[in-house]
Amino acid sequence: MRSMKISKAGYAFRYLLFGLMFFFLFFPIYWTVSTSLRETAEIQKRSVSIVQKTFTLEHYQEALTGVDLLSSIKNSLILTVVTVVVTILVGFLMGYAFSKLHFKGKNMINSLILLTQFIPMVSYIIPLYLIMAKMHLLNTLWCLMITYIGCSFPMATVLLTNYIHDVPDSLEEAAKIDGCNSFQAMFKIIFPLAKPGIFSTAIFVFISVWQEYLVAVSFITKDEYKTVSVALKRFVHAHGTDWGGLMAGAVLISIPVVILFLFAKEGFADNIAGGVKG
Amino acid sequence: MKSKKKTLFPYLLVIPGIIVLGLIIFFPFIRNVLYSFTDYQLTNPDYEFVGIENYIRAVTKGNLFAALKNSFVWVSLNIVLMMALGMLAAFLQNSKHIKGVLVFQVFLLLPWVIPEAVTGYIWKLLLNYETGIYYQLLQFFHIIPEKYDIFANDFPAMLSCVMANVWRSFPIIAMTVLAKLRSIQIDQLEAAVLDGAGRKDIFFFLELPHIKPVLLSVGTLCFVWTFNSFGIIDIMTGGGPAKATETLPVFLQREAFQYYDYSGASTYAVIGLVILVTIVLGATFLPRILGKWNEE
Repeated sequence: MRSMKISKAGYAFRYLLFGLMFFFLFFPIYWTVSTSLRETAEIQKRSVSIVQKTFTLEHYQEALTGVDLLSSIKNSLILTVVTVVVTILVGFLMGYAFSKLHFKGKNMINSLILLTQFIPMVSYIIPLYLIMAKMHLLNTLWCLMITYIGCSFPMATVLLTNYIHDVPDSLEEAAKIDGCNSFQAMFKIIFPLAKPGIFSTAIFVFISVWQEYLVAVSFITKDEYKTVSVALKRFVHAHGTDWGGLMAGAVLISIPVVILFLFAKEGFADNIAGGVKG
Repeated sequence: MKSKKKTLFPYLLVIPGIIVLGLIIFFPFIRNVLYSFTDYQLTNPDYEFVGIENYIRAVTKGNLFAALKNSFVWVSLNIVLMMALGMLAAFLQNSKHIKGVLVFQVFLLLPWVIPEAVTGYIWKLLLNYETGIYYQLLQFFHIIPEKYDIFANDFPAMLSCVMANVWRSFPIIAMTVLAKLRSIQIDQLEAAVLDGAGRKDIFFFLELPHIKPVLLSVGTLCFVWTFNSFGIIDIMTGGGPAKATETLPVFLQREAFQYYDYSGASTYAVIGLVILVTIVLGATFLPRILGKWNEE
């Protein structure tokens, strides 16, 4: 292809823009990690240097033991894993019905799911809170679990429906001729074949549940049941913020999702694109 | 017997999902609408229906309009900046003249993966009074005067929250736009170049029309997210200074969980949803209607 010629100034300008974009995107991440490894005295200086002059791991120790972030990580882990498993299971059943079966009312239920994606959390959080209060579930992990299953379910179903739809029908038919019933075919044939899609949907749900803030901050007041994103508030004191500890905490709670994201990068991009289309 | 079993099977599969949706989303949602017509508060649990009193109060009291005004500023700044940065990032990555985009691409979505609360704290640290590195940078370039607390001033506080949210969301736009840009056929571009089209022509007559549908859908999605966004503002400013960054979701959360005015907050939620749906529907159908109108 004959590419367009651009001038030297054009080159320089593009690289400048690219450099600025690079800086805008990555500097905050670098700064978080760097701050978490600096001594408090250096963080509080009025003239900070970009490259750190001191090095310490004490903020991580403080975050894990002093502030007890570990128990919040445990809460979030239980909460997120259970939510992901239930959401994927229920979503898989529904996605299978939507993409492989024909039945009356399918379109209506399907459009109901799409519609639900547009109902924001704030427009049903109050009754949900009052229901949880009546059932004595506030300040337990149950109230968050139930809420998260509900609000991550529609998105998961939309994604799973697409993935299951991509599995060719012929394999399932062959299995049925060999004597599998519908239920067996679903779990023995479709489930393994749709695994990559299911896996990336699961990671998508994991990441969104892990970081949920509005419900977690509204439903939980007791420290022992706080989730990771709310627990960071513990580093903010009346007399000032412990930025070193806070950033160490930020790094610690970001690591699980960043690792998962790097695992499922390809599928992840598709998921978001799918979400945009849907 | 067998055929009956077969017709029941699909329903067995969708029932768990319908139960989840019904109990966790639709039932509370309908109750929320009902509450907006009552006088339900923590101090008044034996509520009664009061008609549209809450709505009248919401419209006359003025708090709602302050929140809506903040929401308007918050959403418009966000969308404009997100779109601009997202498109810029997409076009830069698509350019054949730049090397080193690969690293960029791999980690582009990182801000979106990092928890929202973390993003809020990171940007608060960057802009923190006197010790923040961006604060010092702004001072160095004399953009802000000495002893100027960004978070104590209305518009700068709002802009700080906006920057944090833009940082978090623009990668989504960049990524979807880039995917669409890459799907432009090379021969189409070649033909355009051979016809003597400049960079500007290619952008306005080839690329922009091509990415327009994606821009519209991702824009709508980002609009919905931004309109409902709560975490970043709650963490960075808590709605302050003096409620200058209190957008509708923040305002609503305070009314419900600090002042325990359940019926009032429910009313704001209904009003917010009506506004959201109106704008989304408008953005989806207005261009089509106008397009038809133009054709005629």
